[in-house]
Amino acid sequence: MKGLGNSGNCEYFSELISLKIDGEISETQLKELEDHLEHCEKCRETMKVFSMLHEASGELLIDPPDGFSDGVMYKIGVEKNRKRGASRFLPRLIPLAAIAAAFAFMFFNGVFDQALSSSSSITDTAGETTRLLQGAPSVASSSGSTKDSRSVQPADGSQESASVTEKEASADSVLTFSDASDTQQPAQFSASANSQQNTAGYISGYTFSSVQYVALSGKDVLETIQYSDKGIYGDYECFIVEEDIFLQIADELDIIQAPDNATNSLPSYELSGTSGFVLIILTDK
Amino acid sequence: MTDSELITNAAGGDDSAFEQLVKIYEKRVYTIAFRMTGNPDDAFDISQEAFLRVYRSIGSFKGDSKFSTWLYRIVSNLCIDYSRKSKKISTVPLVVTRDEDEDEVDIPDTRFDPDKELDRRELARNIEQALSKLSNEHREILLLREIEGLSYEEISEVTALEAGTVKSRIFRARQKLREALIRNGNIPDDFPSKNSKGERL
Repeated sequence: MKGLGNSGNCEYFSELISLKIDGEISETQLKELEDHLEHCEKCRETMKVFSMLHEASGELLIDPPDGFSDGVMYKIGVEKNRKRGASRFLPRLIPLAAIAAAFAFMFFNGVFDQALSSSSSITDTAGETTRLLQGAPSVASSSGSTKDSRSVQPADGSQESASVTEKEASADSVLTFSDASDTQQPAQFSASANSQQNTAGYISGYTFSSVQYVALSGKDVLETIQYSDKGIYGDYECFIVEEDIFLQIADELDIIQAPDNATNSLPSYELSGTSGFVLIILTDK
Repeated sequence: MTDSELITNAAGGDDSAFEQLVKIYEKRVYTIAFRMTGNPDDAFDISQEAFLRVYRSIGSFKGDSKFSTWLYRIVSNLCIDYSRKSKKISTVPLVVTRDEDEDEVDIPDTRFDPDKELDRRELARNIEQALSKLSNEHREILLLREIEGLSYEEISEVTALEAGTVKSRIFRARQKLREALIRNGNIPDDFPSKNSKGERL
């Protein structure tokens, strides 16, 4: 220990200096810091250096290449035309994410069985969900011989689910995404609660000890969402979003894409006191 | 037009309003991308992609988060993906882009003299180099703070870090930056014994 009195705490005061420079210091802390600076040369030096770094940082801005914004607008134009142009892109757009998302949405609305058993729309959005869900298996099977041989089993247990209360179901609900083989190709998506029902991961103020949810892919859209929390677990990202955001994502499902190489090991995400939908996105390797 | 008017118009489908937003933010977005990737091509791609993503979702953007934080979060996520893919964990090649200085490799050992302030550009170049030596986490948070001028709360929104973590990480990043400058001989280390052993907190 050096016998320099106040300087023993210089680490602490350095942090206050950092706060001061950023205008994030409290009045009490400021007073404390000023007192310390009076008789600590070392911290005065820190102050000088940190301030200097702060002021000089403005010089670090770099101009993008000429025509940058033109480039963006050009790409936007191309994308618009493509969207307008064709449903020929549809086959690769059927996303497991959409399916998982659809489950989550339906569970939340308590229209799980209705959405599955009927194609008439309960609400506008539920109708959309129904359409997506019904569309998904056929596409999955039509592309079954290709890399995308995932199968979907949305209907199992649908009759029971409506009677399950949200809390009961949520507590046990697990969405799993697993490969049917050891390789990465044939993947199977299923959603279950109480081991029988397909349901999904709506969370509303309940505490989950360790719940696995998966929503698969869709980074293009999902990275732009406003999430209330986000965790990164290895190659996975978990977004917790509010209902309205979720609905917006559902609206944009046509640009969500499943990764070709989604893997089968699932992260588990500790949740407590959060509300919203949990989306775990499998990122590309 | 103010930013928020532009956002509203862009959300309503006015592409020229969106273009103006691009022009307002392109420099800052590009700077982050460049500093995080260390090369102009990837920086360009990431910045362009960031604006495209914003465009796709601007209709659902809501004012309760600032447009800039939303945008930087997208950029930041793209940069994280980039570093995962390219496995560039913490080393970013130094590329000095300031026009005519491009071929200068040796940074002169200019001692820091508080009375004679260093030439700002010189200092900026030293900082640039030191910054490239920091970890991604430290570099990112310093960029958000110093280049983008975000508040701690906004940084917390962008990075999804707790407020306390933001605070201490910025501080650590500054210390690391200072250490890197000292190692490069750009500023003197007047206190060689600092923080070495016995000190806690």
